[in-house]
Amino acid sequence: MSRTLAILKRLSFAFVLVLCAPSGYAEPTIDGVVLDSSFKPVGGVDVSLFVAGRKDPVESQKSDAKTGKYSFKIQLNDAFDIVFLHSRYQMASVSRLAEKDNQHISKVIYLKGEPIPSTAADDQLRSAQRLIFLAASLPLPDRGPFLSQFTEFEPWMDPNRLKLTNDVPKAVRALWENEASMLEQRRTDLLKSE
Amino acid sequence: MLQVPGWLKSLYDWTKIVGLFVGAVSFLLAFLFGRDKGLIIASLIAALAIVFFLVILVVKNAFAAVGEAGKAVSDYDKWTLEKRAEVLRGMNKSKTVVIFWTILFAVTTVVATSLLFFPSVYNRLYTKTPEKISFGAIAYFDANQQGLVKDSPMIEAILTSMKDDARASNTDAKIIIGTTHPFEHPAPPFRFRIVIKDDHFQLTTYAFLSRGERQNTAYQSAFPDYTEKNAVILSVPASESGDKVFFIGRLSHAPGKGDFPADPETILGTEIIRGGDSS
Repeated sequence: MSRTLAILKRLSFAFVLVLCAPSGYAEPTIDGVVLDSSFKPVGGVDVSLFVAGRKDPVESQKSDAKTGKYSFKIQLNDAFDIVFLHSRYQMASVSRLAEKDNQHISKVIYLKGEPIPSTAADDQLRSAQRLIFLAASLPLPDRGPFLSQFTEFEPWMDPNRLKLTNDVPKAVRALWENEASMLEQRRTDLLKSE
Repeated sequence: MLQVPGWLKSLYDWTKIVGLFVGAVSFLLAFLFGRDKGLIIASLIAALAIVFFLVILVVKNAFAAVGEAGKAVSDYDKWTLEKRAEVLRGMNKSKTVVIFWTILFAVTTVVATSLLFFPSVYNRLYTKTPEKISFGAIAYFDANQQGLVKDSPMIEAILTSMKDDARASNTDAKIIIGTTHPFEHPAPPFRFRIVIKDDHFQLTTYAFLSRGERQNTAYQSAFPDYTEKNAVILSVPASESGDKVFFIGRLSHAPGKGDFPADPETILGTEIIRGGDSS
């Protein structure tokens, strides 16, 4: 009898553990460090989580003034983007992260005017395109205020003025110019009509 | 009874037609080029049309005088000496008037055409990078300028972002707001440096090329570059005479690193960057 009770106790404990497990899984941690190009931490960076269809970030916080670290513990219902904003730095973003898993995202951001690698430049262009998509997911009156938060489009108004740390083939320049002109056109169209 | 000269009556009639014509042309040009340019071009066309009409009138009179002269020559015997002298005077008068109006028409045409090309010629002749640039007004942002924030959500968003960044970066900060003096001539895209003369301070700015006044002001971003220590480089897009750079900045320093000057201009200076030099 006592042996049966002991087994029942163990089973109940295991059952409780199983019950508890999903709630721990449901609130993943999203954390990381914001760094500058010399890999020093950058404090005061606005780190925001965006989900398509919402004008405002789901959650946002500033990176730590000394360590550059940020950390969220949050339950999200959809894939999300992380956007890094600071008045002295070029905007950066990471798109479509899985909402059901922990994420450790450390991001290098560049001072405005600082030469960047071509891969980072291309990444910025994709981020700008992503913002256009996120804006398009919103009702017309919300698009302008949403886009006005970001300076992501500035470098792409004239791709020839991009300062790069490496040479890029003419084909890449041509591609960027083409996509940048479409970006501007889409942004204009987006603010005009549904 | 007052006798209205025929030419004046014709001019009056023609003015009505020209008025209609100018209205239609103005509407079309305003649609194509904008209201101001449309009105200027339509006015020039109207002036040309009136002068053209007067020239036709003069030429018509000259033809009449020549016709009279022709009759005088063909019927020489029937015309008295006085009558022939009168016809001759008429011809000479017509000759003088035709020369006068032809010259006036030519001058008007040249002036009107020049006016059309004036902006591009002016820009071509006078567009150059400014020799110097200086602050027209610069001050700490205070409660008296709240109206500015109310009028412009863009400025409010910038102010909020700057204050938040300063708070999160654990620095003491004050917001400054200012403009440069208006540019004296058109300028191609150029860069200038806002120098921070005191090492303790850091400047972060959002700057814009501003054109027009009050509600009609248009803003164009002047991108900042923070790669230099103790300076912010601003890239100003192509500008017109009278444009100026408007900026909102955050002057900050680490806590306990001294007081803010009473006038921010005492620790800030400007210098134009020539050519590709960014050092």
